Amino acid sequence: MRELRDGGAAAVASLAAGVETLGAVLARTYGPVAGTVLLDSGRALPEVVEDGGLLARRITGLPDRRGHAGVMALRDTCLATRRRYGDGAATVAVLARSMVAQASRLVVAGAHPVSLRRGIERGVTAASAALTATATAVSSDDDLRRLAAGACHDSEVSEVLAELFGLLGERAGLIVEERSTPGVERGYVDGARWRAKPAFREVVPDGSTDVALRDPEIVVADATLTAVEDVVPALEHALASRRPLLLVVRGIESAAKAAVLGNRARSTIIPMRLASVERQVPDDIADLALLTGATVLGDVLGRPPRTLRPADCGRARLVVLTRRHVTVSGGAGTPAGAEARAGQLLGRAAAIERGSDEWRAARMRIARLSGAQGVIVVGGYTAGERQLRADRVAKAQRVLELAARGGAVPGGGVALLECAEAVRAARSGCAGIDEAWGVDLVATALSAPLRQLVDNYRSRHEAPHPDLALARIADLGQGWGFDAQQGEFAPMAKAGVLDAAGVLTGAVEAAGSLTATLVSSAAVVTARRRAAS
Amino acid sequence: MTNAWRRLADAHVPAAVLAVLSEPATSANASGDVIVGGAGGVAIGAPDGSWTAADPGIGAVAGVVRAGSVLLAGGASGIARSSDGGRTWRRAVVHGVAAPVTSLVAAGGNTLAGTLGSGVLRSADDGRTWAPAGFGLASHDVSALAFVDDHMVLAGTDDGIHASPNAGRAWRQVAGTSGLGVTALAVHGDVAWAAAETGEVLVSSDGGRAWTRRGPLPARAVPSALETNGDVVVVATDAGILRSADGGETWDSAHREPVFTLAIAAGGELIAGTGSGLVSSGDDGRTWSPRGGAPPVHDVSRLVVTGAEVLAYGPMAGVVRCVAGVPMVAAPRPVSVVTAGPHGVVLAAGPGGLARSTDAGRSWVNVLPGDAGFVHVLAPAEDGSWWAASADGARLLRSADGGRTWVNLSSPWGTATVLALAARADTVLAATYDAPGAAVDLWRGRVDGPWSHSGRVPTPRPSVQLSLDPPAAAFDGRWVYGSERGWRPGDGPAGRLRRLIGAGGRLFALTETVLAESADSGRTWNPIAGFDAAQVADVAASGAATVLLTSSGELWTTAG
Repeated sequence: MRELRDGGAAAVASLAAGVETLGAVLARTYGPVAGTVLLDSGRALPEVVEDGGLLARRITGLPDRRGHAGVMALRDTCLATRRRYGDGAATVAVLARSMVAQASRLVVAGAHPVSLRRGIERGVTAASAALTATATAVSSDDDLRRLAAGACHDSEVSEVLAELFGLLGERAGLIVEERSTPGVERGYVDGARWRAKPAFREVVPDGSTDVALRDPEIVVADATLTAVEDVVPALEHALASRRPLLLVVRGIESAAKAAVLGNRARSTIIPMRLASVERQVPDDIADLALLTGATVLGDVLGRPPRTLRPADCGRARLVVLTRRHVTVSGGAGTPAGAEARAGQLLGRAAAIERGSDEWRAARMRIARLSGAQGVIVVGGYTAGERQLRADRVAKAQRVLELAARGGAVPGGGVALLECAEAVRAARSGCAGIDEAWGVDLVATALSAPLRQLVDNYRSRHEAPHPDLALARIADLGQGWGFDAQQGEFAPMAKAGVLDAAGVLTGAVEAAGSLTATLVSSAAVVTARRRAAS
Repeated sequence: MTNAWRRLADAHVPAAVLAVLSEPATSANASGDVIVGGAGGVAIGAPDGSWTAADPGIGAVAGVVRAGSVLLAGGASGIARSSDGGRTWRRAVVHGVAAPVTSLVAAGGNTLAGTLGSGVLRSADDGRTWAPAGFGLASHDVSALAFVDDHMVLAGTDDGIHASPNAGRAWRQVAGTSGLGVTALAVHGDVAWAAAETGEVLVSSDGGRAWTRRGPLPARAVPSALETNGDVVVVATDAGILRSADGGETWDSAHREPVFTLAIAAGGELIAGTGSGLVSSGDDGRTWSPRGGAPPVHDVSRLVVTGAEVLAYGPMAGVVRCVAGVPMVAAPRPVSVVTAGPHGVVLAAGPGGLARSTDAGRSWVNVLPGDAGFVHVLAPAEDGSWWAASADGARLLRSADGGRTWVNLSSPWGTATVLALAARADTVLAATYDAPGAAVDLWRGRVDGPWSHSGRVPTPRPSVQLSLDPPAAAFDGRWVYGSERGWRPGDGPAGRLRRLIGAGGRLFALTETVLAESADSGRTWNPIAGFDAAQVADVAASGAATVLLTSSGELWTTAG
């Protein structure tokens, strides 16, 4: 059985109730001194959650089905924002809560939903443009550290990430590893690293952790080698050149494997395969070949491995293969070739949904081709601790990526607040009063994050009422805000309170999109929960 | 049984000091010791002038540093650590490709090693494990390292100075130094000094970020080390010590003798390692005088018996005729291997190829021109024929006329590293090492016949010793003995094997704990009394006589 809530006003009010329900909870996690949320998930121990995105992920429904749709809509928007930008879930919740509440009142009061929607979109566009215009380039490791700290609230992780991004630049690709002792460590990949495995167990003998090849010949084949003829040209070339041989293949079986094993006493032969996700393997093989100056062989490419010529082999100064990855240093490929492919990938990545698997894979390829891979090792005694820190790294990493490309703006909700004037200026282009109300509700919502920040601070410390705080900030002038870490009014940029412009832009766009969608809903159909038998 | 040892001679040779560490006197830690490194290992000099030698097992030691409570030594074949002030050493785990270590520095819990070929190695666990940290290095040939503070560190490479702001995790080439072969660095406060192989001297007053050039060193002076106490700068060169008291504008010669390394003791005393020992200066480098006796860091550690003469040799020290009591100036140096065969023939392989002597080392004739590493292992057969191979497996050679002329043969082992050869008139046995596979491969060949792959033995380390008279082999602690029916596994003397020789039907084994002899092809082993195995450098046998060399350079024999 389903329940139909017909009529625009009723539907919007129903959805707004859901957004308010979840938004009020998520809003408590906004800001550096936000409160934690105790989540009773029915397990033995309640879970303490401090991150808005994680909290949104944990809440999967409401017992009251009438508010369910609104809750799920906000949850989905928050999760998408977090996935794309690493941070901003709580900001979306605060903004959407304000926008949806205002929009709901306007629709109930008779505003036309379509015009209202147009106004919201106009306001969001103006806000995004204003944020982008005020962003400044991130110039120092200190800025990077503060941005990371603002996202993950972990000083150790922030310190390390700031150094990594400072040295590796905006093309940085981070490999996150875990260890069982506390602390955070970092390293830099000299060359390029892929997930990889020895082609068979005997390649890395028991008791060894890695195999290192100095100045090897590198044969790259996007194929599984099975026949002796598949490996003979490579073996002959390795023997003639008197260099170790690295075979990068999809697999090596049957007679080909026997031939490799049988010749190990005569030459150093290391067969390996890349352990990327299956659909990424061809791209990774191509990148490895490009960086080492090798030609990719394969039946489907018209160059079966048995046709190998010496000129098809690549070279590198050093190759280190472990049971989990391979690192190629000093590849003989041309820097111009790697740069050209990295440039192509940058263009392609811009068209891929941020945060998706495909986007992450493209980012890591860019890092490999640019020699900008770093390793961050997060430690903790328990798997939970390690996972928590790995999540913080992922979150702050996205924020730093955005800041490296789009710059930073004053944090603590100040940049949003200061966009309001630019948004109101957009009223002039509106076709009617309903559309202008849409612009206004966006402008009004832009003050909500700062209000929420002060309110969250007030829940634990002495502080003025949010209205008074906003008035005080208006008196103090542009750039001033409330530093919730220190509990005082301060010029945000000078105090090092920064936000990545890209995160705020994404949050405003996500909240606006959610509001525009909800406000134009004509009906809500909710499934009625089945009675317990 | 071998007994009745008689002291035959001494094999003392002067040795170059390649590394110096002056330990401050503290109540908890040592007491003002000086630790030096050289071709044969390390030596610890006590305040009373006495020396104690130790071999970390890493070849020529070019760097010594203290990291917390441990001492670290970096050498030609790796890094070792000692927790007891240098008396005993254990090899550290080095990930990646092993490369000669040129310098070691430590600060703030981070330890770095500069290498030739592998860039910078980094350890964060007091030197137990090392991993490459070469991100950003334009050259991976690193000659010098110096910490400015606990985080900022400088590296002198073949392609300029590199700076790392994060304790060596990542590097950036310093602007304006590209192409400069920097061989020495020194830091005092925020002031850093660098010297290049071309004689250029650079100084930085901001911790190594920006550099300016100063007056060059005198022509043809190739610097190897730098030190500064803030007031003066001294440079060690192959022509001696140069000193500047005017900020590097002009340089005066302060000591005329090749110098390889410099250090400053806690009291401000300058110490320099020369070709034969230590010299020191207590007046800011104006005058220098010998400091104590010669430290025992020579690498003479192998014995060869030919007729009545005993030859002792080491790669860097060259060959010493012990009975005659003179070094062989005409013999190859550095020498990679010396072997005595029948009819008084001795062959020695060095950087010029293979040299031959038939007069117990008095004179030598080069019989096979070649480059360094041309021949790495030699094996004579009882009929006067010889076999030789290069380490990289590229060459296999045979001589049928006592080493006068040689024939190139094709080897069956491709590019595998040759560890050992043993020959009879009709048969030769070769052992090669598959490093990635951690296994020794055995090959058997017949004169003018085919080779066969006769076995593969898993061996974590490239350690194998062969004898064909009587047949025996040891693979990193696993023993096998030959008989009419083939090879059989057996037991050997306790301890890690250092040397196995067969002579006249007897086997001699020198391990880390015992010197033992077997007269029944390895079935039973009997300890040879009279010497602590730890103090024995090598053992040789000829006919009924046994000769041994102690680590202090004494030569003992059982011959009458």
